[in-house]
Amino acid sequence: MTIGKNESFFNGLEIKIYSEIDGISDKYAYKIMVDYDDEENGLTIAGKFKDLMNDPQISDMQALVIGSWEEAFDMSPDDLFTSIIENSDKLQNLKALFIGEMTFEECEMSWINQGNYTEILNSFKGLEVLRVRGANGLKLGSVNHRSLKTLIIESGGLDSEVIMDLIKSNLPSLKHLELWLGVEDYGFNGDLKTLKPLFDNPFPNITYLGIKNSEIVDNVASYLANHAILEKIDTLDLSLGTMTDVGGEALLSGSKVNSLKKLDLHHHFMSAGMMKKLTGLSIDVDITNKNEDEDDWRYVYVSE
Amino acid sequence: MKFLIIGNPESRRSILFESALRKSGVQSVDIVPHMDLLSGKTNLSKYLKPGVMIRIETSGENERVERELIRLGASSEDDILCETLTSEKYEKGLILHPRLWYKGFSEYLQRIYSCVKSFNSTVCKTEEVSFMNAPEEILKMFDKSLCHKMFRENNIRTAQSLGNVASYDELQSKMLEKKIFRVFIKLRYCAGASGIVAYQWASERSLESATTTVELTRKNGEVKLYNSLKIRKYTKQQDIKDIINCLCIEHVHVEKWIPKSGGSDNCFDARFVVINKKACHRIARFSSGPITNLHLGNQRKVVDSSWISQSIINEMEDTAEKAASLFPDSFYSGVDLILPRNSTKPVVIEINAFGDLLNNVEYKKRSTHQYQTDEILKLRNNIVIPAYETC
Repeated sequence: MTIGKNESFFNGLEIKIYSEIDGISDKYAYKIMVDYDDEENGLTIAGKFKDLMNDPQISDMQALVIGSWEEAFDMSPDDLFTSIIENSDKLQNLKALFIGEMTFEECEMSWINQGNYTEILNSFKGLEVLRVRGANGLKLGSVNHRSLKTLIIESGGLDSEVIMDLIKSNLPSLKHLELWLGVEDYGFNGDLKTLKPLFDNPFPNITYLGIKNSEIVDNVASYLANHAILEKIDTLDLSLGTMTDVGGEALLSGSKVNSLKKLDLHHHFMSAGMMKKLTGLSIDVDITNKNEDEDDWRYVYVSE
Repeated sequence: MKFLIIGNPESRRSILFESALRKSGVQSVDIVPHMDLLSGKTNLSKYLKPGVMIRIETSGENERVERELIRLGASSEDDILCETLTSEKYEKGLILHPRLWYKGFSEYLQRIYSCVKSFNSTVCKTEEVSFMNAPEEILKMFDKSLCHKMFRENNIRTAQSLGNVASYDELQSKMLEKKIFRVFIKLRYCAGASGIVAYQWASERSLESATTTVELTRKNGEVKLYNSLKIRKYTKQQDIKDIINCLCIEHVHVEKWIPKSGGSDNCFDARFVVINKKACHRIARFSSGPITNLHLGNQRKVVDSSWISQSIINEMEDTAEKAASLFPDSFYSGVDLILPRNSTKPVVIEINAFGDLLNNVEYKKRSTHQYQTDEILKLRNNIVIPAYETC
């Protein structure tokens, strides 16, 4: 499986591809990208970003989505990041930023070149939502940000350094955290130990914890099933990974699972028997997208 | 009206076309097997009668015929290969000398054409023997690089080509030079999904992958490529290098890989069958990977306005018709199109001389074959076939 569809909404707003004619309102999220037609017409992401910044209503923009840029897996977005930072005064109302909104046909997730988000977060003090797709070259740095409520990092293979930076970060408002760990083949080099501090010393206001698209999800589930963090959060999202009956059993017998509102396990490898047992839990459990082992080879949702 | 099918008599294509002819009321249908013509068992001239229309069917699906064509292609340049071809054991799926196959196929079609030409000029001057698709154009359609050039010259939108590429190293240097890091590599002379590679390369990270219908095997140091129904993804440089170098020996056509539009977790291309200058039957093929061919188990859907806008369908029809019009002596062809992501303007991927077999797809309530035969009879006899008038 892969990401095949472009997103239609971001941070609750419908995504519109920016055009000078339609301009900007605070009712939409605006997306810029360079597609094949643009490339043929010699357009670049730098040029498109400049046009966007020159829009008279730019300061109304609430949410910005950056889609594919030219040869996204060979070109780093550093220049784009610099431009975004340079224009932070114009983007004073920007609440939500999504960089790397691409499907597998545009650029496979683990190939997307990302950049250093330290300065972006420093320059956008009011940012509430940051969503990043692709983690190649991704740097977070230890962040001190008082407004950020949602952080989503989608990857096919996440480097431990990003997780360790996150552990060192001060994010007092963070409610929703999603980390797509991915697989070793595409750069995931951590283990349960890397993640433990995130669970043991959680962000103070966290209510949604997602450890997704992971091949170590059974271990994570076993560790979390009796963990105090489950009393703090509403939703535990272990979806898109390779969960088997091992993880399922751990959650089922876990002492803290019933304090959750929702347990999201969709895309998994659990047996029908285990699924039935899980639906018996008194909380909301998503166990859709059951997968079958292919020659004993289990796969996460995005491994590319 | 009289028809002659040159094909593999056992193949579904020949059988379906013959039955379509019969249904349209054609009484005189002969089939001459490719194998008999190639082996010299029979002579085409025996089958030529005034006014006959010839349909040349694909030689594929019959291993003996394919091998004869390769031998014919090799005869002028490689005696040793000619010898070994006879003794070589048939291996299912092995990609076998497509360049020589094309050479042999060209020679074979040329012979057919010459035979018909001489019949027309000497025996029959009033009612000429004709072809549904002219041999010369069938050959052109089998040459992907030539078709690409023709499309470009006629302002039909295609993916950018990387020109001639003779090896993996040359491919990489062309990719660097043109700053194109995702490409489709296809055998230049070939149809279908044989030897297709979707290759991507992140040059600065030495990261590469090849998603392909090709299965690579190595035996005693010898690299062999097989067509496979399973799509594989190779990520080791040596594997990719071997595959690409092996394909390059057979000549390849390389184009930029354009991100295709799609549905929820897939992308599609569309086959439009153009019959008598008009885009008729059409089907979209959905895949969760870059290669969309139907026999690889991909999902299909009729192209209609329930899921794609009519204005885009119109654009696709126009583009398919325009592409087919470059082959004016071909009554039918199959044009493959994609819609680049976010775009409303289709891109032609290829044109197929034998691209008219679409199972269970109808246009004006007729199959591709039935529509062709009815159209031909209409043209020839200037008659209307009553049974279908209400459609």
